[in-house]
Amino acid sequence: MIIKKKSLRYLLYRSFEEKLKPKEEARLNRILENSLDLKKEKEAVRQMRQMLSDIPEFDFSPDFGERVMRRWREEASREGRARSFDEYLSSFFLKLAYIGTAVALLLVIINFILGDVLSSEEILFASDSVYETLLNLPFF
Amino acid sequence: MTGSTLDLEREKELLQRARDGDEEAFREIVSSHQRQVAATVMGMLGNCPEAEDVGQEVFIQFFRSLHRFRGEARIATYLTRIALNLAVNELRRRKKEKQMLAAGAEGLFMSSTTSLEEKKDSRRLLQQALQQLDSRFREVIVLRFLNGYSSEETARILKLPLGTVLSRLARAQMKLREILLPLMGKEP
Repeated sequence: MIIKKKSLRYLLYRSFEEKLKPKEEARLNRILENSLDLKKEKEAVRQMRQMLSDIPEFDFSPDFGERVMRRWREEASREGRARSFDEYLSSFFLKLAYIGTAVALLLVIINFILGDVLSSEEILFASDSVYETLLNLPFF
Repeated sequence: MTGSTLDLEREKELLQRARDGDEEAFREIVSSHQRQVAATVMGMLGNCPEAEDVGQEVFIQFFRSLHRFRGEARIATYLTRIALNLAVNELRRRKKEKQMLAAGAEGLFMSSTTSLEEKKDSRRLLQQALQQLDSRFREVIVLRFLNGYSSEETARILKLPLGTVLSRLARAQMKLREILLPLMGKEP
């Protein structure tokens, strides 16, 4: 009986928020007609929902916005500093990579011009056969 | 109270400017959404000093995630999600420190020492009762009634199936009424 009553109350509460199935609705209406307690509970739930919706608007203290903006400024300047350091690092390593590539190319070209005065092992720490294989590739 | 006063176009413009570091744009986002955030945070945590700190953190987290936010949801919805997550984290922290029970008891003690008129203030009692609900029930009540979202919107914000939200809403109201009856001096 308790379970039955509990499921009936659940049905009543659900009826405020969703469209019940016709069978459920008919059952609830039938019992509502005969139960004063359930009718009272229905009215109480209606009032409670009304009170919940009528709770006055919430707000933070008047200086809330200003305090958020203070934190925003700190955050923005920290982010700005971090971004400029990141940018500095990436541009530094990019330059380093360009210079390294240019030096390596220059050494290879010099080696060509001087007719293998410098061995490939000395330039690229690779054996002659690897170097020759590389030079035989179609794009050279 | 479901949305801000901003229309979609204005929102997009403000977002872009805020991403570019425009202080005025961010200020406008804060002022047009702070009540919405206050309803979520205070509904979840009660009107306590931490509520303002959590409120501030909501906007700062929003700022940090601006580059990820592509406008697939309204700003209000996104802020509500952040506010709920942070409020739930705060509740967990309180629970860890075993302060939740103390806070609840303090709330009840306060109500017993206030005047009879205040004691009868149903809104005040409702707010107290809300604080005693389990957080998964509290969040649906806060979104549905305090923020004024529909059950469908509530489901979207919580990323839950609509059926789960409807069931939680029904159970939350049942529990709320059970909590309210003794507070109002009535038999269950």
